[in-house]
Amino acid sequence: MWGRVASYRRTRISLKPIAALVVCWELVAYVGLINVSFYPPPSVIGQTAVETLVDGEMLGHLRASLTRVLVSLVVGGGAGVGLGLLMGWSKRLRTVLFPYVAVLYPVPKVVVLPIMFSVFGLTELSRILTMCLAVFLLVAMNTVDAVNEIDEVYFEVAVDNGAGTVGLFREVIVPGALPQIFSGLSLGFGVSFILIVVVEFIAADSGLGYVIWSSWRLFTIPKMYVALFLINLIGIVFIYGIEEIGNYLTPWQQHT
Amino acid sequence: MTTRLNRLRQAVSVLVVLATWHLLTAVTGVISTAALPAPAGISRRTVELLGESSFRAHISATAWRTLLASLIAVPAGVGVGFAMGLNERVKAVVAPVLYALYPMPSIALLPLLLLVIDSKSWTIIFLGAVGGFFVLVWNAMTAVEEINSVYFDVARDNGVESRYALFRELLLPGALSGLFTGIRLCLSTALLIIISVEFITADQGLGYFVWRAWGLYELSDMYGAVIVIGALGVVITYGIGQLQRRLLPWQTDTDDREFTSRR
Repeated sequence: MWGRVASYRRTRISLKPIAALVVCWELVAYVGLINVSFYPPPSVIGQTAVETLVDGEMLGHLRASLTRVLVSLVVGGGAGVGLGLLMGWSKRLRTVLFPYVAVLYPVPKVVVLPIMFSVFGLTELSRILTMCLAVFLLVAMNTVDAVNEIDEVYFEVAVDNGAGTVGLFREVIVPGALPQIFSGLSLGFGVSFILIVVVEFIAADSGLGYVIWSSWRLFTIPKMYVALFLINLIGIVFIYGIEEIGNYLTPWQQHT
Repeated sequence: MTTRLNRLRQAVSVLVVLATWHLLTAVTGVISTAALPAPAGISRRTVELLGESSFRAHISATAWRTLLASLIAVPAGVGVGFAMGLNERVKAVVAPVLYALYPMPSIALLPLLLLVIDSKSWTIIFLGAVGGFFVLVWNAMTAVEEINSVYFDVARDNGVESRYALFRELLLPGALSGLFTGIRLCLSTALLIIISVEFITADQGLGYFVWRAWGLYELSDMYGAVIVIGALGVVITYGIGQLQRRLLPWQTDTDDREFTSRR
């Protein structure tokens, strides 16, 4: 329905500009050109990072955020792929479910958070369900599209050659839809990545988002930078991880 | 004929859910209306809210922010994306920077931005614009890269000389379909971020209204505002879809194709 979605392309991340930035930052802070209470030099941030990681505090928050992102991707993404494939395959299912998907899909998913809270209370379940739902809708919609864009001829050939329902899924639907399913997954991760920060900013007492916001309010600024760095690390691992898995599973796709 | 039957099926499917919801809440009281308001109550409250000028001020605050964020993000995203798609050298310089920045959720930088930017409203707009830009820029780049290179040769052989002519005759029409996907994602990401930041720190806007209503446990108000936010999202997503159909009549009517053909 929406046309193919493009996402970032792979390139090698060069560490040189980052190293240059760190050196400049350190120097400028050392000379006193920037306010070190707001922009502490990398050496101070590094020290805080080591301290908070060793005593396990930051590690706990990292684990909390990581769990939320991972669960939302596996559960929400898995359900999205499953239902998307079924909706792409069965016209009747597509007809019946279309009104819901069509209405829910464009809604900015963050508004689901207070609704979940009012139904399930201020619980971890509410937070994770909100993120799952967001991933689910994006992935489902992209998967339906992906199945619909498979050329009709492939279906006919498969059926003429004796493919049953299982064969149709295994030989035509899943491989045909796979590249775009991964575009959907990376879009889904993008949204769950926004949501996790918001949710942990305003409605959690664990996670890297919580550390960022509370360090900001308590003015323990170096801790805030450590959390920012770690959240960036999660982003890198997931964005390139999803892409690598996608490339691995669809070797017939040309990558530039 | 089949479309009419499908419409009927869809209507029944929606009505069944609404009726069950109504039965469980308003009629039998299995779920207390204090925890989940009945659909009739929510729609009544939504209409009431729309009549209040203070609520309309929240709507216009969010709408303005989204509009301004898009006015920044769309030209920037299309410009940078086109430049990267057309020119390998530009791509070699700009792309690594964008790749490095991309895995940072812009919203996590909110505390730092509050420090740098004085106005809360502009902080919100800026974050929305940054989020939208990053989604759009890859789509714009890919849209240009995927134009068949033969077209460029044909254009040159037929005397397209100036950059402007190339842009008008080839780049824009060729990339438009991919661009629309990008712009739709850009605007909905901007809206998502704007509502989110309004949750966190704002004294106006629909996000602020929803989060406050939840804090005060005024659930009808909360659902009413959620419906309005959803409507904004629907207007953006399907509005751009309509626009695409108007501007790109040579594309197949995707809506019909996707949801009524095959099986």
